[in-house]
Amino acid sequence: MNRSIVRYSSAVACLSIATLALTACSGAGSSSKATSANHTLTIAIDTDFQTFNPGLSSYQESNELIYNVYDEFYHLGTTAGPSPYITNYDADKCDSMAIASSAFSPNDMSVTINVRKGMTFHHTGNPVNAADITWLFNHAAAGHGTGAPDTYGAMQFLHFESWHQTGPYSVQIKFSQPVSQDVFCQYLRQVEFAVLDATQIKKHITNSDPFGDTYIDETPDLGSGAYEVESYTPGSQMVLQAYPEYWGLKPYYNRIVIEIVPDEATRALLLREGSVDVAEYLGQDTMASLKAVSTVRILSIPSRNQMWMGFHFVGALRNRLVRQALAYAVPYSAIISQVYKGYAKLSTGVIADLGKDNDPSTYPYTYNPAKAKGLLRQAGFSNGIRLTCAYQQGISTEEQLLVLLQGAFKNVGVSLSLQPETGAALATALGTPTTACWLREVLWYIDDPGYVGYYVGSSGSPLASWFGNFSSPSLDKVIADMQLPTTTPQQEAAQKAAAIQYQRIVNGLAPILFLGDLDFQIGTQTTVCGYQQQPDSLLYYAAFRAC
Amino acid sequence: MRELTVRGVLDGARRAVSMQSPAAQGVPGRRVTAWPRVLARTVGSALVTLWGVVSLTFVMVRLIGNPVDFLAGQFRSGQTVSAIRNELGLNRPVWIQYVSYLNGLVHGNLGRSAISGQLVLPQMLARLPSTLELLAVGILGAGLVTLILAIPSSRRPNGIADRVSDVIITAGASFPAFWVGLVLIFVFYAKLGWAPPPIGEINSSLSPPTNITGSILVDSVLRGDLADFTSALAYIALPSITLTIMLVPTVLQTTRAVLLEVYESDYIRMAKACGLGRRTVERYALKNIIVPFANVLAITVGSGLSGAVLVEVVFSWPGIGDYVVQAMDAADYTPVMGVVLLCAVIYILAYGLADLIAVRVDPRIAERA
Repeated sequence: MNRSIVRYSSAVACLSIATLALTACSGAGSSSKATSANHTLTIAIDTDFQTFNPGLSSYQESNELIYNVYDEFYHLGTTAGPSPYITNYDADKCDSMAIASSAFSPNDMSVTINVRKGMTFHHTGNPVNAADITWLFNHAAAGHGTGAPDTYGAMQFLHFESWHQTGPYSVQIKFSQPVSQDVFCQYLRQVEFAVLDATQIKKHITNSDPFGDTYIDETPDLGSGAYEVESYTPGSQMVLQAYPEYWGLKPYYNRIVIEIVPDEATRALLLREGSVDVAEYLGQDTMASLKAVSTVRILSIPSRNQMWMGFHFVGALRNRLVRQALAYAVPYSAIISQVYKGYAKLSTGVIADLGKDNDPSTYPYTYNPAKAKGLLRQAGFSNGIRLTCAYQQGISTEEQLLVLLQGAFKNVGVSLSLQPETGAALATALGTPTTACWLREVLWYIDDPGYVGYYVGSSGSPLASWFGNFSSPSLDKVIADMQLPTTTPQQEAAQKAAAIQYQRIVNGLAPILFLGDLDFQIGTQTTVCGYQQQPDSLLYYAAFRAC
Repeated sequence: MRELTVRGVLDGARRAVSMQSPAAQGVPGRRVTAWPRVLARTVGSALVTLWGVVSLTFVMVRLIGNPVDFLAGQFRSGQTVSAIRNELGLNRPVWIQYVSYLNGLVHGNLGRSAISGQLVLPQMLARLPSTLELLAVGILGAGLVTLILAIPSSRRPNGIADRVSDVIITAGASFPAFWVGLVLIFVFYAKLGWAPPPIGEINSSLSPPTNITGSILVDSVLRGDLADFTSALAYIALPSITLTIMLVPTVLQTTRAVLLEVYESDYIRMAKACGLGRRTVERYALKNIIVPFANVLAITVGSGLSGAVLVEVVFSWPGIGDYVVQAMDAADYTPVMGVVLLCAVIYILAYGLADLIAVRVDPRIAERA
């Protein structure tokens, strides 16, 4: 018996020693060591790419991949950021990408766009031309946007009426009403307008799949961007390499390794230990813990992203005074300091503080529990009300925020119940009044009051059901004024006047509690520089360089 | 003459113990004929179980939401939502969707993900070998630890091995797998630097071996690539130890209890009374725990699969864990149903294997079959 135990133990001990020895031998050589010599940038993200189809992508991970592998129509220009390590975008500057030049008609009812010559698609070498652009529009518009809903939504917002190829490299787009050139550029810089290799896709179409959606879904790279996909291991890793034939900026990092690291603590540890150069999607607490690490730099960039608690106009929330009372019951400063650790600023209403034509004077709410109680009494709810709020489960910062709000609301007699949901269930809950309220971070990709007005308050808004359809004809008129082109100073002034009126109306109605304008944050090694902030907070890999 | 007599007594005792031992009872000749019947019964019950799992999952996933609003994006129009619903076939009556799904399954088609648009089966198969590799090594580890500790602890209750077992069982059952994983990463990767970074299955600077089985560990052995093998072994060490720690309590506790019962059984007492050597007695005892041990390992496959999902998240292991979590979040029906079905198949296979082992080892089961 003893001998057999010894035999078993010896075998396991040998196995353990061998494993540890192998571990010690091959373990320490982490990817980061080899990184700098090859100009490789290793980035840790939180989950696998949800889709490769630019028209279907609603996720940051997929969007970021597409942003770097494909050429969009435009990019925004850059300006100095809040620190030497950050370059910010400039929404007023439009840099050409796939579209080399564009000419709007004098009445802004049409535009002719000219595709950059000499661009080629990865892997096939097919030239990028006007046929790829018209295919993109046709694909998006087919079947009310089933193949590319976000692209179709953007085309609707921009009042696309028709489009046709006017030459091998030129396309004319006609609008049903005048379109702002600034907004046109900002919208067409997004991944929804990534240019796909239509020639290659057309080889894979069938009667039941006339736009080759199946092929697009299954192909990680049909683009012409600065990077091409070298390899992809599902659930594990994607490797990009700089596209040697790229027309534009030659990236410093010629190889990008995207590691899929689902656990936030592990991502933080990998950054701390130098095994990755950039770690994305880290929560506030994790960011705070990394600040003390000398080899790590936490970049924090003020943005127009906002945290919203939106109201369905049901029960007591139909009453404007109740909504206003809740706006006075929010401990705004405590949210900024305790939940966001100072990496956010007080919101000043429906147009973010950094947004175009923001007017802070239109936002009357500050933390004032006495006033909140008074408004509730005035509304006939002196005994308080009960609310249930839907939110996406598993986001620790949002959970902390809700717990803080629960306490603050309780002080004024409002009982707040929380209903965690999956991403899909929350997407449904936003548009259906099954709960009184919902919590969601909103990323404003377009810096334009007309864009904000279209989504919040206009009767045609696809989001109208998020806020109890509170629009009115007079508000629609104000929003329409905000959406007019702003080519001349007079038009700019008119838009600003309308925007102020809009903010006064919407903030007064309090359909949403604006809980903070959030900083975008990311952790990098101190050896990595060149971070370029985008409106959608996607990393632009080609801008990174060694410090 | 004296020596011959003693040997004769021992031989007689062996024969007597063999006759009394449950593993030796029954009619050996029937074992062969029992196999097809056992196999048919196992396959039959497996099919019924799978149908039940598919039906239940089909209903359950629809309770977590629907992917349409999510897929349509935040700035969708009603027309787009309606068009997407039509395209996904969600506008059809649920029973037609059900029949359509079953029809697809019969033809080996698990459908397409609504979110990625990709076929579910290849997506799962691309990730499955990693999960199975981790599961196999984890279960192997749990089995080894159990064999090392269960035998001495059941031979000597309250002895050192028994107390060590108690500690391991209590500790293993108390600490959540993700926490154990994080501690192991912190100690062996961050502090000691012995372990590689918890990213994937192999050092990213190495090119993985040609895909034969999908398991890097196995493929590197088949290709005879030592560098890949050592790297893969290093990368799987901590995740598999985490899984082992999670699985050991169940396997060890059950096996120890069974062994204790066997050691106290009449035929072992008789063997000891007849003066059979310790190793011979152990052989009889161990033979009789094969069936329960196999059953415990089969049960462990189920908990191991769910544990592997957690371990995969902590160690960035590219298995089916992240895939199904992502699908659940998006209420993407087909991948969720596919993964549940796959897990059911694995579970049923493990149980089927345990049944077949039981038939092979225990003639009484073969006879009943």
